[in-house]
Parts: sequence; structure tokens; C-alpha cells
Amino acid sequence: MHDPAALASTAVPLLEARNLHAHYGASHVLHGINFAIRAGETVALMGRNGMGKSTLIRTMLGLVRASTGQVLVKGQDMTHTAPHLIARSGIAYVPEGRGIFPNLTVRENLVMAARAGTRGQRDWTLDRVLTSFPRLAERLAHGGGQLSGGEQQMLTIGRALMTNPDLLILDEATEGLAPLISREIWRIVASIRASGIATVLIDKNFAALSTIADRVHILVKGSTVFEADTDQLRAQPHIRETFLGI
Amino acid sequence: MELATFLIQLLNSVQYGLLLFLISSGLTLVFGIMGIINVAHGSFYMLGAYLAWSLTQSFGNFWLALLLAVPITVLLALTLEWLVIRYLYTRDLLYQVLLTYGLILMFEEIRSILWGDDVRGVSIPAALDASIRLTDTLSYPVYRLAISGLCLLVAASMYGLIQKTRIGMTIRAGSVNREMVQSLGIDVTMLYRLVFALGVTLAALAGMIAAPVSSVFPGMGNQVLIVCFVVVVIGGMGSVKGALIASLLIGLVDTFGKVLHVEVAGVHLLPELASMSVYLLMAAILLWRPEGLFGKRG
Repeated sequence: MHDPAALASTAVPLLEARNLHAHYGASHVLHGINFAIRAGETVALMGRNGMGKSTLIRTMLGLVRASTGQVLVKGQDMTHTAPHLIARSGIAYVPEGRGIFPNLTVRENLVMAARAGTRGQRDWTLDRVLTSFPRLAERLAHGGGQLSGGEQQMLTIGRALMTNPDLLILDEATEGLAPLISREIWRIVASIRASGIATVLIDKNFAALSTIADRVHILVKGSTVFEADTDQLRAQPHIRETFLGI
Repeated sequence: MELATFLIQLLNSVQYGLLLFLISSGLTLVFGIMGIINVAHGSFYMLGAYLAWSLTQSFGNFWLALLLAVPITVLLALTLEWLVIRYLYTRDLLYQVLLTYGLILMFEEIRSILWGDDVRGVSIPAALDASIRLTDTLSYPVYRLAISGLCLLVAASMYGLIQKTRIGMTIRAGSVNREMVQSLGIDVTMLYRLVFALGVTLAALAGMIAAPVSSVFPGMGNQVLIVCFVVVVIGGMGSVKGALIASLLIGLVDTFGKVLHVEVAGVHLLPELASMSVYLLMAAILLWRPEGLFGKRG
């Protein structure tokens, strides 16, 4: 077996930001960010609230307009490409606040997203998602809005998997969930990682992230202040204190 | 009122209500899913009627005219969406109303140039030109029943499309969270174009099938537009189910408001008051439920 880290460092990134800048009106929110994630990797994107984590993700996904700089998907420039085409390049997104469709049933939320992956793979089917999330199987006919917060989170993750992505981006997947439910979500994320799907995780829980992420990328005020293997961050508690306050 | 007369009026009100639904469902879909107030919606009703008249004149066959008019309308709708409507998605209501009002003026002018300003009539197609006898003196035209039947068929197909198909799921999803739909790899622009074309085609189809029973005349679109907005407001903006219920309600109130001679406290209410009945209904429903019967609260 090859060393995945060595393999990853040579491969073309699945998603890459090069010197990316973005603005919300007059305010400059991303200051030339370089970010990359390769096949099979798990990268934690960390930082306090309002430091630009979600904006970085949303700009790479084409939902926020990049002012300057580039977004590359598998080496191809997709800086000003429509969001649905970026998604179709194999990137699934679970946004902060989940974004389930409350007026659709659980089944419809899942079925509407179903599609083969970029290599034609159909690893994730409705059956497999329901096996991975038994709670959803019990609530197929319920409206998306009737689910608890944890179930909604499972539904968005399940829905993202239905697109058979190469890369899954989770923005604050455990935000506001009870510890028991959070643990279940982390367990699911670990199994997704093990299945070979690359993941970008935005979260504030370093303890949980450090067990799963290969690398950590920390943003402060729209700039990268730290980027290294998770082990290096674990060995430098002062960095965590300075930039994350933990 | 005699039973036969009552029955005829009831059938009339259902037919009128269903026809209204055909037009207003498009209006409410375009608003509910795309967030666009299209005041030119009535113009497509007029356009459908004039197309039916003009093509029937040219080919001598109403059904052939219908067969040609529908694809013409779809093409027109797709072109119009691409040419102007898509620039409205990110703009506010004032732009939408101004631009679509401009479209009304253009359509009226084009209608005047192409077809003139005279009132036209389309004869009822021979196959449906018959009546069902109810009593010795009263009968009911088969064509009106056919209109109701077709409208019901369209309503059922729409229900199937929106509730049972994947496109329908995406349409419903897009009405609450457009960005999320895009992030799942679905082309919302295409979806909107489709919804707009569907709405326009339904309005034009209504104009086509109504042409043989109501004459074809300038400004007919604006007349129907106002009633359709009443339907959409009563039913709840964006609700197709609400539009169906509201259309039938308005059909009943309008038809019976015109034939019932109501005396209140010895005062005979003038027939002119009857034409207010639809608006009185709207006012009453809005006092009770400001968001309409099936509208979203807040």
C-alpha cells in the first residue's frame, strides 16, 4: 500500500484556491488565500467566528464571487463557473444551518439529489444512505422540517452522499447538537473518510477534528495563519490558544 | 331557482373556475418559485386566443390550430425568458412590474399590428358542437364540459409533475432554497426557464380553449389578469393547491353573484354590486388569513 500522504502531495488537488480574494460589498473578507485538498485527504478548516471559513468555502463553490485569484477543480480553472457545474465536478456541500428542504419529505430530499459521480460511480444509493443512517429510514415520509436537529444533519450529509462526490465539505456539522448526536455525526464522518471520499471539515471542536483530520488550516481575518499536519498543531498548544482560543 | 338552472349555473361556475385555475396556476408558480411578479401573464392568455383564431382561420381546423399554437407559445416563452425575464431574478419588485408592464404594451401593439383591433370569434369545433338536454327548454353545451375536462386533466398532470417527479421535487426545493439546489449540482437557471415556459403555456392554452366560448378581443388579457391576481392572493402566493381552491371559489361567487337577485332588508341589491362580489370575497379572506388560504405565514 502506498503512503496516502505521499500520494496526496503529488496528485492534482480536487479543489484548490490560489491567492483568492473576496469582498462583501466594500469589506474585504478573503485576503489572498491558498488552499488545497487532494483525493482521500481530510482537511480541517479552523478559526474563530467571522474569520472567513465559510466565505472561503462559498467562494470556492462559486456561491460568492471571487474578486481576484483562482479556484481550480481537479486542475481546471473554475473561478467564475456556475455553482451547479462546480458541484457536478464531484463536490458536495453541507452548509452551515444544513439547508434541508422543509417542504420535501425525507425521501424526496434524498432522491432529488441522486446522481452518479464523476467517474460514473454509484456507490451511494438510497439504500446505502438509509443503512448508514437508520434514523432516516424510520422517517422517510416525514417532512424535512419535522426532523430534529441531529436528524436534519444526517439528512443533509446523506443527501450530499447521494451525489456520489469525490469531495465532501461539511460546514459546522455538529454545531448546536447534543454531545451524543455529535459523536454519532463524527462516527459517520470517519466512515465517509474511510470510504475514500476527501473531506473538508469546518468545526471548532479540535479534540474531535484532531482524531480525524490529516491537516489543519487556520484562518484569521481572511488570511491563512497556520497550515500543517494535525500532529504539529497538537504539539503546539500556544498556536491553538492564539488563533482559536482553545 | 329551478334545479336545472341551478345545475347549469353550477357547471358554468366550475368551468369558469377551472379555466381561471389554468391561467392563475402559471402566475402563482412563476411567483412562488422564481419570485417574479409577471403582470404580462394575461397577455399570454390573449395571445393564445388570437393564435387560436388566426390559425383556425388559416388552416380551417381548430385542433390543428391548437397543435401548432402550443409549441409556438413554448418557443416564445423560452425566448422571452432568455431575452428579458432572467435579468429580473436578482432585481426587486418595481423592476419586475415595470418591465412586465412594458411587455403588456408591446404585446397589445403587436396584436394590433398582426391581427387588428376588431373583436373576433372562433367557432366551436364540430366534434364538440352539441348540447346535452337537461329539460324541455334548457340544455348544456358539450364544449363547456370539454373545457372543464381538459382543465381537470391539466390540473392532475401538474399535480403529478410537481408532487411525483424529480423535476417537481427540484422545483419545490428551489422555491425554498435556490442556492442549496445549485450546490447539489442542479441547473437552477434551466429550471426557471422551464417553469416560466410552463406558466406561459398554461395561460396561452387557457386562451386557446376559451376562444370558442368567449370572444377574442383586445385587452382580454388584462381583464383576466386582475381576476387571476385575486385568485393568487386568495389562494396564497405561490400555492398551486391554493390557486385551485381559490379559482373554484371565485367561479362560484362570480357566477352566482350575477344570477342571484339578493334582497337585503327589503333593498334590492343592484347587479352592479354583484361584480364586486369577487373583491368582497378577497377582502373577507384576507381579513381572516392575510397570507391567503394556503400561503406561507410571515
